[in-house]
Amino acid sequence: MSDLIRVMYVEDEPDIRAVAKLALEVVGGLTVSLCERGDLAVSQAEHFSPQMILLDVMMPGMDGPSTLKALREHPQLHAVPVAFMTAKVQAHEVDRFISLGAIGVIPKPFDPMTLAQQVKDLWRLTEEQS
Amino acid sequence: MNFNEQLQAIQDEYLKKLPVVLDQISLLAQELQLTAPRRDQLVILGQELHKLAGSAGTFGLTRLSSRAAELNKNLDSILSSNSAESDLRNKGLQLKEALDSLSLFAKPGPNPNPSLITPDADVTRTTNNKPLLDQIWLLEAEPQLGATLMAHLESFNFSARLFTNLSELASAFESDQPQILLLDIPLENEGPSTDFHSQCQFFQNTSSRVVFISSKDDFAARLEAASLGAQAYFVKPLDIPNLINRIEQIVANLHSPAEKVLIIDDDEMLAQYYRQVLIGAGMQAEILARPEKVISALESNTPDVILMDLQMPGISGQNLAAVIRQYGRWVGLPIVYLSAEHDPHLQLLALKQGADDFLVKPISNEHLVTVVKSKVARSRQLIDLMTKDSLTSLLKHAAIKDALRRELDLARRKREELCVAMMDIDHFKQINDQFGHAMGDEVIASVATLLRMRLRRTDVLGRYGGEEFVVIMGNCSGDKAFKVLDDFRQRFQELKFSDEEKVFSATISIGIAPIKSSHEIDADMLLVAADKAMYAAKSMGRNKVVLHDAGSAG
Repeated sequence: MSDLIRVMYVEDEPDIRAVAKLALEVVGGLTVSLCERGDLAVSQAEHFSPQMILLDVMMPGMDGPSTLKALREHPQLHAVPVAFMTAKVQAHEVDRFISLGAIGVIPKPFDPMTLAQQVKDLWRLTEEQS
Repeated sequence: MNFNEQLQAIQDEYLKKLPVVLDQISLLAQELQLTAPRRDQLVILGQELHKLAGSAGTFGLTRLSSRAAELNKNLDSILSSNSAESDLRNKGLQLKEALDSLSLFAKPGPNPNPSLITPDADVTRTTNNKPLLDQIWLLEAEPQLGATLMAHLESFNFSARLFTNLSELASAFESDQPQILLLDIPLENEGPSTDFHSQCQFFQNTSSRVVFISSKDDFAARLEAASLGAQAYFVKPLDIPNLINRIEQIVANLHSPAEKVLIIDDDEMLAQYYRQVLIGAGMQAEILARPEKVISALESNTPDVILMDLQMPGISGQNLAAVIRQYGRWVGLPIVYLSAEHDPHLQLLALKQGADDFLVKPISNEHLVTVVKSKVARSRQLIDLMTKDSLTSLLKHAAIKDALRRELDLARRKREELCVAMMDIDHFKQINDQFGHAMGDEVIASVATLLRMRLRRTDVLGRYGGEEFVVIMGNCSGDKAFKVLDDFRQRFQELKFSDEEKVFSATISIGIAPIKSSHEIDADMLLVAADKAMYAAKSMGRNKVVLHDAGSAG
């Protein structure tokens, strides 16, 4: 079982990006690559090769689910675990995200103090299952 | 920079942008007022709310997050609904109002560390399904008096808790704090007082309002109570209805609506900053950048206080204040100048010309908030004195009629139902004759107190005359009003009044006149209809509620 080190976060809101990066790097000791648009996520992921990708659901232009679809169709990135970060966390909504191929959902608003742990927990679950 | 400092810096950035986000939401919410709202605009509104719900909590604004999520859900249900157009419009208007007051929720939760998300008190209370009652903690060592007071407090719908000694109270205080502390403790040479103050330390810096009960009525004891933060002081033997009335007033103050501030300043950055500070302190604040629009801004916002820059391009604050004072309606509106002017003569001159206070820039946040709050509190007190009845604190005859006209207009615009109830204490003359006028006043005051407890905060209450009362219930059907007022009637008859010899109870007769929004009926006709229904209740044997036949209310 490998440790989680490299995480990419796709999110259009700059303040949320900034606080997530801070939380994941300082509290969680992860290496984080930020991306502000869904349509840029694929090429950025090619270069950064993240172990895990966090996707905001509602973004202008290409939204989270479409970005996930594009990643799944990419030869190198199709197996990278993806989790959604969203305020839509009702059961049926979570079910839909999982059915799209996400490994889980991290509810927003997140707590900067525990975000890294939530991400690592999801990672560990996926590792154990595979 | 360490983690907390970095976090704080991002949070500051976010808070700086938040007013713009909230304004944007208000702007989009205007769409909901239209008969045919544009769907694409509402979709954008939903996206804004969704973003806010997902972000505010990360920066400590947990209440704002959950409120935004809740309103987004309401919006979704409107967007996906198939119900009748009129029904949707009503829901839309309600949602718009809720969205306009979204900024009230832009306050950090009680947790001092902004980064930690903890459900704040309000949310916990609602999710636990506990009723949102006002909490009173009573410290009373005498078992008899303790039991009596508890019974009274509970009958007036307070959530009361009894303590018999100070240390028990102090330790409970560590985990929870009530709205009101009602303390019967020995003051000034009644008991050991050397370490008394240190024992009382625990309630000195809390938001709990403190009321003292004492057997002493001298200046020294009252002074000591005041130094311990007493907001009210009652001497034994207790006049309980009077005590309850006072507690009720204190609670009403706690629930008074947020202060509305109009900021007139050409420096937009600074105005935004003040606005943010005031909003952070729980107030509502609007900015007016163009002084020539002041009168229309006053009419649409009806602020409680104006903060005005003394030197603006093309117009001086003094002249602008003078223009405002030319309108009879705004003669009493507090105006506070903001200025970099240090010359005391010029300051005095400015005060002479119609302003109430003078703040010299730079102004500390605390100073700004305190001055604004105290000006508003004072001016609300004065308005209350002018419009409210001194015995009951309900609106006086003329004020309740004015209020009825306003509420009728509002109901018509919002196409809502409305009810007016007229009520009269049964055989009031006999109560006066038998028990004296002081007891009669007590019965009148209890009607007012019980009405406040039983009715919604949005209902308007007035003392129409002598022992007659008027209640205006907006957005309320006749059947609903009947249920609420019949419950009130029953509770009123259960209240026990007593003089030295006899215990008695009183009853009340109530007539309700409901209107549908389509009815063309004016305030006077509606009052006549309610009066007729009340006389019908009297002629049916009193202690009854009669609903006027809606068909003949016109």
